[in-house]
Amino acid sequence: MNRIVAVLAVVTAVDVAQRVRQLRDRPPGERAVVAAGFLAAAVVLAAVATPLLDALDISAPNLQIGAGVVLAVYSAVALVRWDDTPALARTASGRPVPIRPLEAEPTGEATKQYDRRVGAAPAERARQNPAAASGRAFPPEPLVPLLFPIVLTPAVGVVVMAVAARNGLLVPLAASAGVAIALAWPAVDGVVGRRPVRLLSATLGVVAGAVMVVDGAFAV
Amino acid sequence: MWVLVFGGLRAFVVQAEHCGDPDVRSITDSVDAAVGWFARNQNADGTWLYRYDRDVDAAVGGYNITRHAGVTMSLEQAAARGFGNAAAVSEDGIGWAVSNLVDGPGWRAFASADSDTVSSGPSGLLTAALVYRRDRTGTDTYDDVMHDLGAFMVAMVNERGQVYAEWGVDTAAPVPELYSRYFTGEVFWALALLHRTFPDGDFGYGAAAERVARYIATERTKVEEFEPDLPDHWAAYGFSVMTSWPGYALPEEYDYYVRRQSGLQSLQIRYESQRTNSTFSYFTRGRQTLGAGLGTIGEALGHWTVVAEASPRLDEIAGPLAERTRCVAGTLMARQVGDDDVSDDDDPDAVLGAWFQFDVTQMDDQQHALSALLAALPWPATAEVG
Repeated sequence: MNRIVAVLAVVTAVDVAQRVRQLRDRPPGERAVVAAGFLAAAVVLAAVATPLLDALDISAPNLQIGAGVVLAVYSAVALVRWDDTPALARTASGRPVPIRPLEAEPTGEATKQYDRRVGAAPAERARQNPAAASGRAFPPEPLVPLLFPIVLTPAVGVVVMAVAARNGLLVPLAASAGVAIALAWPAVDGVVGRRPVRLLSATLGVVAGAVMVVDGAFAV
Repeated sequence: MWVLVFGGLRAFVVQAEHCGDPDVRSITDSVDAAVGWFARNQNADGTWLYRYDRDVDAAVGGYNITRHAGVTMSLEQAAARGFGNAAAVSEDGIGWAVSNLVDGPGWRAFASADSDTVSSGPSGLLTAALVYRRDRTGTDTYDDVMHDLGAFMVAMVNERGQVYAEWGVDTAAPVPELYSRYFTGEVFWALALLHRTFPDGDFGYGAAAERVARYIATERTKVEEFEPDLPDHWAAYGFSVMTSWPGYALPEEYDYYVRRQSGLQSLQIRYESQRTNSTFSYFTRGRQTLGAGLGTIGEALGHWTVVAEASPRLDEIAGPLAERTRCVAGTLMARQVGDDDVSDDDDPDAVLGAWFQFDVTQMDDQQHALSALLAALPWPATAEVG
């Protein structure tokens, strides 16, 4: 598989714009844990890819076709969806709490209303899961649900494995390292965590998925 | 969601590829069984049982001289690899073919005497058989025949490198604008073999082979309107022989064709090996293909492997090609009729060692499967066992 396509596939499968948007209100420490966890998961997935395929009697090009299909479908759906809810900002009923736009001025009645509504989410979590609220939860929130299942989706898993099986460990890990930096670095939120960026990413994901399918079909 | 996605992929996209674990011994046993089928089903005149219906235990009839030549070629391949019982069976087949040559202006060809046309392909495959026989025995018994056949094939190649499919007996000229999907590769391969065998003579074999090679690799797909491409195992044979010419280096402009062909054949075995004929497999993958169809995939992959190994630019696909070739062998072995598959209603002579589809086998099922198994022998998965 072409290395540029391989890197593009990993980055678009993570859906960095959407994930950064969802993580924007999380403390830097938590985001660092999410990023490190993602990189560790990518290492494991990449390392087990070839032995797992051998055990399941699957050739690497065939998995590439499958991963391409998953990536293309995921990215096509991403083109028409955008989740503006912070990862943990949900009411007890599971309904997302509206969030303050990044560019909004933190003054005025609307902002006060927003703060009151978002403030309810941690309270709800504390009521339902006191251990989490006190920081004693296991697994800790940065891992569940922030890393899994929000960041580490099936699309990420199958794409990282397919790229590793076809290109070796270096390419998926290099791409994952770049993704991890974006996840951990709050300074990129305003640039990356925007819907136009996600539209671009999803478009590239559809293209990368299609290329993976065709390239996998004609691969040896 | 993970279970849904990965379960869905496993069920519908990445089903298990049933390649088995072929080694030298198991492939050798399978080759022996295939050769045994030809030995038991050869007629007194050197021809073979052409088509057999297992369900009614009867020969279906018909005969095809291209396939006769192909069977002799495969048997000679086996004989060359040390399967001694193949040599005697092949000898009778060659004898029948040589007694059925027709004369033309300055050449002879293998054809039906009562036909209005002379096809180019049968002479190519018979020539290949004779070259293998010459290499194996070290004798020049059929050198004159080979040159006569070679002269016919050179006459059937035009300046562009196209191979005419038929010679018109009445017009005493090739039938214009008529090309065959497979005769082109068969003639190309035979001419490449002849050039390797007789490199010093002024026969024109090498020049004609190079013209055909260039046409196949760079023009044929568009000119003859094969889209995306024609999977051509005979072309693989031809190019693999060219890489054995002293000092020959595959031109870089052929790389795309080699990679494309390799990919097409790889795709086919990666798909075909998923078929099990279970109900689920039948609905998601279709029925298993003919023995001949599966065999041609293995022949192509095996010979593209030779090309890739001989060409540094293609080195990175040599390993995967060898792995796919072994997969074909394993798949063939799993589908071959073995001792345990013969029922009381069967005629063991007609079914043992054969490949069936819809309870019917045709001699080229065994021919292509045999050649594919032989093509897999250089790349055993496990230690040599005998």
